[in-house]
Amino acid sequence: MRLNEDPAAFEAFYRRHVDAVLRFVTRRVSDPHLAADLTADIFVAVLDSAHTYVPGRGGEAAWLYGIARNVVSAQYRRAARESRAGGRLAGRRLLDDDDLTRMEERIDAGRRMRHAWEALAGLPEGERAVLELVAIDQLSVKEAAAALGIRQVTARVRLHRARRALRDVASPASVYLEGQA
Amino acid sequence: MSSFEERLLSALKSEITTRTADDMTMTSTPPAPAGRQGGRQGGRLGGRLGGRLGGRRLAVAVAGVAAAAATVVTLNATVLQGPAYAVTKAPDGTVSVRISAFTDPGGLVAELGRHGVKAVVDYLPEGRTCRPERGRTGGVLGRFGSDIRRDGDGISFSFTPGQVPGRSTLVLAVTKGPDGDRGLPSAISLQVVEGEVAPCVATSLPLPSSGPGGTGEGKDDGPGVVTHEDDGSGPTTREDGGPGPTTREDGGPGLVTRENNGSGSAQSTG
Repeated sequence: MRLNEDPAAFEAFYRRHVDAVLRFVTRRVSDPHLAADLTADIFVAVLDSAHTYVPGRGGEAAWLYGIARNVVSAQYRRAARESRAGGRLAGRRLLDDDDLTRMEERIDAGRRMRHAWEALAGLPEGERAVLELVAIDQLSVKEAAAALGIRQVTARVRLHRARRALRDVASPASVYLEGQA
Repeated sequence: MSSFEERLLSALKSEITTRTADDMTMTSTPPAPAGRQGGRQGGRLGGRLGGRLGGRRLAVAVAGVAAAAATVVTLNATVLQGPAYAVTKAPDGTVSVRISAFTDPGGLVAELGRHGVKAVVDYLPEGRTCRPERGRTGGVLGRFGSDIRRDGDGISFSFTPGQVPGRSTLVLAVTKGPDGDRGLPSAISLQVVEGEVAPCVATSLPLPSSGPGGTGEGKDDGPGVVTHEDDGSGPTTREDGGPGPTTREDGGPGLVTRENNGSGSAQSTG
């Protein structure tokens, strides 16, 4: 049964991946409430897109990373919007004090990665996307390609270009990334 | 997992239950493609995500649980009164349909679909029916529909697979009686349409004394049953370029359901 129809299947999927989703999110945003919202958004998007999941095509992690990326980039495209409070909900309201502390710990742990992620901002979109998944989220090139819906060959080419571009940028973050990638 | 993760999981599971129940309720608007909607049916979920993903926000955990509880109450009421419909298939392929409540046309369409029958079902309030021109008359055998009979406070009918062949659709339009959803209907229209089915255009049900004039080429076959035979009068497909194509529900073989609230149809009458 599909994830959006079978609560038991969804729960199993959630438990397998919620930790990875939290890491993904806390590597990218520094506000714990936003992190909670985005985590909720990502799993709602999983329900919305459950019909697009084709088992065997790159695996469920890759599919989930694709969704997570879309949610986070949509968030950043809306970053110009003033009011965060109006209309946004769920995730942040499910945080109690202990959760807040725990989320802040995650965010702290992801700090270095976050700086690295920001360092990628100057790269062309396609190259950035691959390097981000490989260097920051520790996906294999094959998984990154599946998450992005591109061929592995394309992914390798873009990765190579991204590394080369970063070599020209002398910053601790890029050096760190080079090591990771 | 921390309590945030557990609470989020509960909220998400409630969301699944809510969505599943939503899918079983018929609506008068076509279902929005998943992932693009800005908010389904009056914002059961607060807030919006918008942007590329569309989708909805989860209601705050407490509200989400309350919504799920309300849904359960509705379902229980239905269960207590008995199922609205039942579809069975005999070993020889004859399909029997029993409808005891004129609610949930979508469920009946889905159930027929599971038995390999394409169907369009409309339940109309007292005094209203669909105009009989729904498309090209299909079905191999003539007097199809003459087997409709009263069954308690509902109706039953049966048909063989040959009477509704592959490209054809069973088109049922029921006019509820004075007792409403769970009473004997005033009128039943059952026909087989080949190819595209025109949506129901609600019209007033003619009184028995005024004869069959208002229902086109239908014949009045006795109290409350109107059947449409293949009398060779040629195709009745709509030519007006009106809203012919049926809305496709996800995964279904062209199933359409709609409830007409009696305030008139939105389609053009060409």
